[in-house]
Amino acid sequence: MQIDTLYIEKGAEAHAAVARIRSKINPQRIEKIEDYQTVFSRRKTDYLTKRETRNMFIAVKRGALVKEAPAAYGYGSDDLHYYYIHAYNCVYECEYCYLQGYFSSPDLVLFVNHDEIIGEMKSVAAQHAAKRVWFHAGEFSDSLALSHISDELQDYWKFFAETPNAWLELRTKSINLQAMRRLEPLPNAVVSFSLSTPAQAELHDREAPSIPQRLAAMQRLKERGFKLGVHFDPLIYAADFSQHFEHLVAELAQTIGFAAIDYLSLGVVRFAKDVFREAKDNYPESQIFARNFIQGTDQKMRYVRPLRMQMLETGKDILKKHGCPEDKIYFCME
Amino acid sequence: MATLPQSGDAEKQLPFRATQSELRILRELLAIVALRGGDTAQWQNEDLLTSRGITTAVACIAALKEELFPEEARLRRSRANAIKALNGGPLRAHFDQTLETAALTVHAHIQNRADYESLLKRLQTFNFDEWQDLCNNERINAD
Repeated sequence: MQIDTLYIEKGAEAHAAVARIRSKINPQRIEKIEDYQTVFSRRKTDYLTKRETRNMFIAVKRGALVKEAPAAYGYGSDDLHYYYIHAYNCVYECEYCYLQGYFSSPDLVLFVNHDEIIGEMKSVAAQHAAKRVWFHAGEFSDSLALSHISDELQDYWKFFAETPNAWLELRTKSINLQAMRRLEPLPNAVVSFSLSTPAQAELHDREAPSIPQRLAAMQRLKERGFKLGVHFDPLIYAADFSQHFEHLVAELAQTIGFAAIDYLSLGVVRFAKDVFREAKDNYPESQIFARNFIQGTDQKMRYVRPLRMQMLETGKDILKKHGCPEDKIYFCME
Repeated sequence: MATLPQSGDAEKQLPFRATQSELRILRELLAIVALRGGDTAQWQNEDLLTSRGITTAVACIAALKEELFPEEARLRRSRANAIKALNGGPLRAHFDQTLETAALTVHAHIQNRADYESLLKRLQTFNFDEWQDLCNNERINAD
């Protein structure tokens, strides 16, 4: 991957991950800086500059390292759900991505204080020893796309191997399995793939692997014994949504099979208000915006509830029809 | 695909006065018309609009919504019909126009005992469980 400027925060240099990352990229320039925020957040950079210029920051994550996930975020309503932040921003360019407008820059930030993040996880898992505590990765960056560069998964794997009540979810659209090849499956680690109908992925998931490629990556992980999850999220309305969704589910049932999938979520496209505005500016001709969006009770821009429920229930019925057990299905953020 | 209306075009071409807020809504709706491959020009043609009785921004917005989102409009009509019994006399009831909730906003203006009794009668006649079921069971296959 070509990086224009690599900014290394001075405080990060002592972390072992810096040398690992440095050995895998060849930036045009390297700058050492005191605090990544002073450059990363210096001024608003247009989101789409990521098409031409790609800078990377190596930094220490400060503030909250592990955060409580919003309601209906993950599978298992009796479980606790947290997410951890190992990176900011993404190499893909999905038209609905909430990273648009979230940060003032689309540059990549890799955090390297994994020992501190894991320490925080350890403490949260210990506080709730009698419960299953999920730690989701991929909230602010795809969890596998850069994992061969950030190379942190082995550290997290060790923690999860030692902590059975802590469960890991790696959320991804990536087919980059280089880091996964060096790991063995764990009973409490799930790799979950975001899937949508192939036609919609082609239209809206710019730069991301195609659906057949994602299914092939899932198959490789399944063969190695990794636990899998699926997020049909975001579901985007089209008049022929149910036919295309049924084809996708049939393909999933045939290639992967529901026995190999721990859970499947369904979520309808939604935006924070700022992101909605930014996404419309970035992709004014996207068919995503050919629909009516209303501001929901959570302030997010969504389709009207009767349409959302119809899509979610149709999706659920199609999954059940193809043999998916109902208890593996949940509605995300609804 | 039709060209998206640029910011400012709507102001220049609409054959009626509109507030800033109405212009913003009209721009958004015309953008959807264009995204769906429709003809935005017909919504700025005074003769055509007048022939359809669309002579104000409010009427134009309502007509655009009806044409673009007929299923949602049908549900709103059904909700309006369901709360008909509440409306009248001293009482005005409004439902959540986003269709997100079954919430009702009720305004009562009571000037005398007759108003008060009319209010009680209207509230007692209204079946909230039925109303809530109606809202919870709303499903549409398109907007």
